[in-house]
This record gives sequence, structure tokens and C-alpha cells, in this order.
Amino acid sequence: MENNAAHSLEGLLLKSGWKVLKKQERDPNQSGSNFSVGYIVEKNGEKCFLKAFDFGGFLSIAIPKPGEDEIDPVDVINDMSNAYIYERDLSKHCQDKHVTKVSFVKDSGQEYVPGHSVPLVPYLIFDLAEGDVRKALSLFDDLDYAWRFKSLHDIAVGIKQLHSIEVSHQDVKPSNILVFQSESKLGDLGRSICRNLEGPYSNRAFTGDRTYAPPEIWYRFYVSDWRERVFATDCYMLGSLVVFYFAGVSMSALLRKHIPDEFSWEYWQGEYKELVPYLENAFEKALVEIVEDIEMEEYRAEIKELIQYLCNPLPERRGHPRAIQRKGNSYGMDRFITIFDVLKRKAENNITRY
Amino acid sequence: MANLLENKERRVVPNWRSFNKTVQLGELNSFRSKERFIHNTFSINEYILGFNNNPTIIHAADLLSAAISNAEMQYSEVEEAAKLILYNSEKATKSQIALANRVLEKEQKSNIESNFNNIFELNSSILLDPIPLYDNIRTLKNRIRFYPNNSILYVELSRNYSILGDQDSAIKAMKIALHLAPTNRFVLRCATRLFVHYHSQNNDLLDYVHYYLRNNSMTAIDPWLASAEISIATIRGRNSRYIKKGIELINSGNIHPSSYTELASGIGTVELLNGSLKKGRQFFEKSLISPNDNSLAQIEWASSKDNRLEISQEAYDVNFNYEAIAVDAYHNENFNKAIINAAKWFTDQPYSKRPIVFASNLASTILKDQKTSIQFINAGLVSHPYDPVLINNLAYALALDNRPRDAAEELEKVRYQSAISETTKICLKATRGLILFRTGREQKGRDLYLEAIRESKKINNTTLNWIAILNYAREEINCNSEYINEAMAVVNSIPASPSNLEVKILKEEVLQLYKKFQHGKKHAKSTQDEK
Repeated sequence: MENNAAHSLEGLLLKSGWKVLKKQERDPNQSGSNFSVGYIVEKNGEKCFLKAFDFGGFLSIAIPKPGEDEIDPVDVINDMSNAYIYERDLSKHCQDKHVTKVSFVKDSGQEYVPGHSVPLVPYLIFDLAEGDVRKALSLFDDLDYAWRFKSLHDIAVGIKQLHSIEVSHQDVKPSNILVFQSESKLGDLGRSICRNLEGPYSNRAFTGDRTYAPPEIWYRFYVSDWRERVFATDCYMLGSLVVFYFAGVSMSALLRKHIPDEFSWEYWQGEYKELVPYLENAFEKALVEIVEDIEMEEYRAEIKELIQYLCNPLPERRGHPRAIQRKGNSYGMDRFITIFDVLKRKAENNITRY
Repeated sequence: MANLLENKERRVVPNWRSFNKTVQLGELNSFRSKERFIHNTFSINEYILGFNNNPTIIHAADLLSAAISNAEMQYSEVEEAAKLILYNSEKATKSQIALANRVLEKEQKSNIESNFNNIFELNSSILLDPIPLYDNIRTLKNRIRFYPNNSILYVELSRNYSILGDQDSAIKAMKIALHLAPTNRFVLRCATRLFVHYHSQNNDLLDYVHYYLRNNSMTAIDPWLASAEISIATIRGRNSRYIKKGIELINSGNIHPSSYTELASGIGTVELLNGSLKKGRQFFEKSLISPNDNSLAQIEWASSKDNRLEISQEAYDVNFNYEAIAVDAYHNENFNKAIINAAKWFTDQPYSKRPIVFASNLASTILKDQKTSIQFINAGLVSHPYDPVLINNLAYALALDNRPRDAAEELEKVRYQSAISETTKICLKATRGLILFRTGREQKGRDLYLEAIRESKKINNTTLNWIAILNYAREEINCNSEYINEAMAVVNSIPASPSNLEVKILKEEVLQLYKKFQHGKKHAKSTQDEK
């Protein structure tokens, strides 16, 4: 599908005044890469990132509507338009509600590219990040702990801001953590769900990438309460991100490694709750492994505790214990934000001392 | 004389193995036979492209994470990513290396079967070395400190304590496990086994675990739990409300036969004990569709009550089927096979006394191999340090090994204040008689043997009575006493081919010994006449 209109923007001057400089290799550094094509664009000397919605990407995952034998391209165009409108509006909604730690849509529009069966290309323009967190982690092998805690702090603040306006990101993963000069931001709101905004994924129990999803999603165990379900998911994903920052792998992969095949999500046909003690057993083993990867011993206990609270396999035991004890939001980010902040300061002091 | 392995009413109490072994045996699998969910595959192309564009360790690890989580390991890039991590292992984290090894399948898989194959390989330390158990306990305690909510660790801790005979600590750990995971199959079945093991008239352990089983909503739908509940209810002499539900589960067609084998076997046992042989057979037949070691051992036991249930154990390829094979081999007089399987049975269930009593009795009485018997009992005494049955069997083996003073020392360890069965008291008395015979105090030994013989008759235990008579007669012959003919007259009253194998073999031995004795006597007389 590389000959779609979305792939043919290079060199064009868009109606909105943006000059399309260079097509990006399909790279997960740019979010939502299965359904979009990335470009570097420029206007008034400012370089930004353009996300062009790709009809071919949407078509590749489309299925016929109930009662129909074939996929109707009009439905696919409709799906693509809805995704575009939803991401644009959600970004505006978040911006209006003073969310700061999210990469927002800077500009948007639709470009007509003649010579293609579907010539219309909706696009969104974002600030250009230096890259995603994987790039940062791979560039600096011994990336200092202060930086890592600062980045995690930013992300926890971003999640908190979203939760406060009833938005759940649902796709917190390394490729969606965008690194700017002084801060980290959550990228790709395309998979987020908002209670007050009807979107293409509003009716789905989980909308993000399964690789970083919590185990209950893998086992199709969905908490019926919307807030509990989606906030618990974000909570786990933040914990998984902590694992990635220090052990370089996803929590779910480590869990899967320690789960006997008989209980794995590919085979298990029973209830989720029957499995919880076995998942806790795997979780404990994974924690042991992660802790061994935390080189600076003085942070081991706190990082382990963070992961233990954020990634507990049972959603109702997830979250900070004090938040769970009190009625209200068990998945509140406040305490985690404080912990990340304290750890960041401790690490900064250590740097100064040495 | 040695205590017999009593043919008590065996129940289908869950066997208790380590968590890993239990998992490998499939006893914790989902019991549902029908597929409820279809596994959807998810594309990991995004991660493959990411790795192709950025072949760094972190991108490789991200790809491995996606491949392992999504069970999509078939791509060449996944293998390349794993190799890249291992090639740069000095820069990779341990978790990354572990995932790479998993992808390349470098993790060793353990063999779950015991690996000795003949009697010469046996020794006490192979049977049971307590040092690793203490190490296990230390490790488990550290892991619990690290993560206190893991119920599986408490079950493992309890198991290690029970193997070392630390009853209080084993029970305490198991109660914590039950508190953490009160509805879980593994925890509940292990608790059932432990509490049956330690229950007595002085505690309420059976009531305790029965409460958890009865009040668990899963018991009505999980055949493994229903089976455990039925075993506890019948041991307590109660009617189980789960028998009817269990029959429905078996007939539902929704449960895999390997998941209901113990349930069918348990219900078959209840029917058998209630005298409904035909119904009992029907359930035992169902238990044999896909049996496990427990259901096969149960049918081996049941065949002694209903000979139409006799089966060939060899026909079933079942892991850890040691108990059934040992008992079956014993009945077929293949004693070497029986004792090897008893050793495997014990290493599989080192907290259990039954394999030790079985093996020590077989070694002492039938194989005349006192050293092997002593090794078994010493291993068994680790988990049952003051058990009068084991102490008696040890003293008996030592005395037969012509170490009567060591035997007497062992007998001193019996704590008479604890509850000792009448049978065991009779055995202890007879063993004292044996020791006295072997230390030259024949009259005192004779008195004790005769008392044991009288008492065994009084409690109508014919087998025990015959065994006491045969042991006594042997000692009279050995010491060339004046009471040999009287003793042999009683020996001759024992039927020519008794059904009990031990009695049969002991009788043959005594008759042989008597024959030799008479031959020796004749020979001595003729030599004297010649002179």
C-alpha cells in the first residue's frame, strides 16, 4: 500500500503552509505507525512532525460490516476520518483542560493528492521530538538515574492530568514516550479513550498495544467499571515503563517468561481469578529478576516497591497501598509522582556529590 | 516384628508435590474441555521494523518483549534480536539476556521423574538428605520477605517443614497460604493433604480445611476440589454434598477425563465402601479413561476389595505412578521392582510414612535385607522422628541384623504417652521379645512373644497373630530351645497357603529353618552314633 496518497506527500507545500521535507522510515518512534505515515515538515523556520492518516493501513485491518461479504471502502474512509477527528478533538480537549505532559496536535488539515483512488489525506502536526525513550536509552548506556526518574515523573504527571479529565491513555509504552530537550511527554493520543468524547474505540475494553497491556487484558478479564478498568490499565503500563527503564524489557514479557505454558494466555481456558496465585508467583520471580538489573543498590527497594504497586497482576490490588485503603481512586498517581520526584532529587544530589 | 502396611480404607486424598512438579503433571490445568476463547494473534511488525531500523540492544529487547508476550517467535528478526543481545551481553541487562535465552531455548528443562533404577543405587542420602531442605527453607523465607503475598511460597515452605517433621511450622505456613488464596486449587489440595497427614483426635485440622473446601464456590464446578472435599467428608464420616454435583460434572461432557479421574475414583470408593460394587466399578472405569498416579493407586487398593477391579498397572503410562506399581509388583512377587518403586514413591512424597512402612517391611521380612530396611526407616524418621511404627520397624531390622543393643536403644525413643495403636503396641512387644532372644534372655523374650501372640488373637487380627507366631518360632529354632516342637505345632496350624504374602513367605522361611534344624539334629545324632 506504499502508493497511497499518504505516502506521496514528500516535497508538497500543504494548503496550511507547511512544507513537507522528508518522509520518515516507518519507525515506531512515530506513534501509530501502522495506520499513518510520518514526515518532517517546516513552516516559518520551525520543524515539526506530520502524521498522515494512511487509507491503506486502515484498509489492511478492516473487516466487512455485519451481514456484508465485502469491505466497503466508504466504511474504511469513514473509520479513517473518525480516527483523525477523534485524535484532533481529544488533543484539543486535553489542551483546553491544561494538560501539559502530552504531545499535542499543533495543526491539522486535509490534503487532496490527485492520482490516487483515495486522494484525501487527513493529517496532524506535532512538535518534533528528539526521539522516543528507546533512542535516549540506547544512546546513553549509563543514562543517569536522575534523568530516568525525571522522565518517569513527567509521564506519571501526564497520566494524572489525563485521568483528572477522565481520559485514559491506554498505550503507554516506550515508543510513545517522546523525549524533548528538557522533558518527556506522552505521545499518541490516538488510542486514548475519553469518557466525555465518543471515539472509534470507545466501546472497546482495551485499545492500546497488547505487548505492554496488563495481564488481565491478555486473559480477557475486564473489570466492569470504566474508571477502574482503564485507570488500572494505565497504572500497569506506567509500572511496565519503569521496568523498561531499568531492565530494558516489558513487564508482560518477564511475566510470561515465568508463567508455566499451561497457564499462559495462549492456552488458559479458565477464569482469571483461578490463576491469580500463579501469576503472583510469576510476578514475584519477575521482580527478583528486575531488582538484579538495578545497578545502583540504593534505589532497589524503592523501584521494586513502585513496580510491585503499579504492576500487581490483580487489578484490585494495583495502586499505592494507601490509596487502596482509602475509598476513592485506588489508581491515583499523586503518591507515585511524589516518589518519582523524591527519587529524582536523591539521584540529582548523588550526581552533585560525586 | 515389623509393623505391616495396613490395608486401611484408602481415600483419594490429593498427593502433594512441589508447585513445579504439580504444574508439569497438569493437575492445575483448566478443567474445561471445551475451548472458551480463541487466541487472537497480534502483529509485531511495528517492533520488527523498529529493530530493523535501529538494531540496538534496547530495540532488540523491545522486539523480544513483543514476540514473547504475543507468542510470535517465528520471525527471523526475533532470533537475530536475541543473538544481538547475547553477542553484546556485557552491555545487556540480565532480564534482556534471560529473554534472549528463552527465545533461543537455552533454558534447561528439568526431568521430573526420579532417576534411580536399581536397589544398589539406594542410600539414605539419596532417599532423603535434609540439608537441602534447610537451604530451601532459608531461600523460601527470603523470598517471602521480598514478596509476602505469594501463597505458593507458603505452600512450598509448609511442604519443606512437613518433610522435616516440623508439624507446627508446616501447619502455620499452610494456614497463611489458605488465608492468601482461600479458593485456589493448588493451595486447597495441598492443605487437604497436609491436614489429613497431621489430623488427630487432639486437633481440628480436618474441620478447618473442610470449612474452606465446603464454602468455596469453585468446589461445585472444579472436579479437583470436589474430589478433595469428598475425601475429607468421608474421612470425617460425613455425607458429602459434592458427590451428586461430582456425578453431574463427570457426566456433563464439559470436563476433560484427566481432570475428573480423582473425582470418579473418589466417588467409586464411596460406592464401594457402601457396598454398591457395580456402581463403584462404573466410576472406577471412568477414572481409568485418563488416570493419574492417585487414581491408579486407588484402584490397586480397591481391587483388594473387589477383584473385578484388578488391572495391569503396566498398561498405563502415568508419571509418578510409583505407589500403584510398588503394590502391584509386591502382589506379583516382583520384590526388587516393588522396593525400587517404593523408593521412588518416597522421594516423590517424602512427608509420607506409607512408602517407608511398605519398603522397610518388605526389605526386612521378605528380602531379608536389613541394611536397606534401615536406610528406608532412617529416611522416614526425618519427617516422623518419634513415630512408634517406624521406630519399631527400625528396632526389628537392627535386631534381625544381629545388632540387638542398637535395637534396644532405638526402642527407648518410643514415647508411650502419645497415642499408639493396639497393633503397634503388639508389634513393639514382639520386637522387645526378639531383642531379648537375640541378647540371650530367651525366657523373657518368650514371655513377651507369647503375650503378643495372645493379644493379637484377642483383637482378632489373624495376620498379625500368624506373623507373631512365625517370628517367635524362628527365634525358638535359632536358639535351639526346648520349645521348638510346641512352637512348630502352632506354626503348622497356619493354613498351607495363606492369602497374606508376608505370612506365606515367613512360613516358608520358618519351615525351611526347621527342616535345616532337624537335618542338623539328625546329622549330629548319626555322628554321635557313629562315634
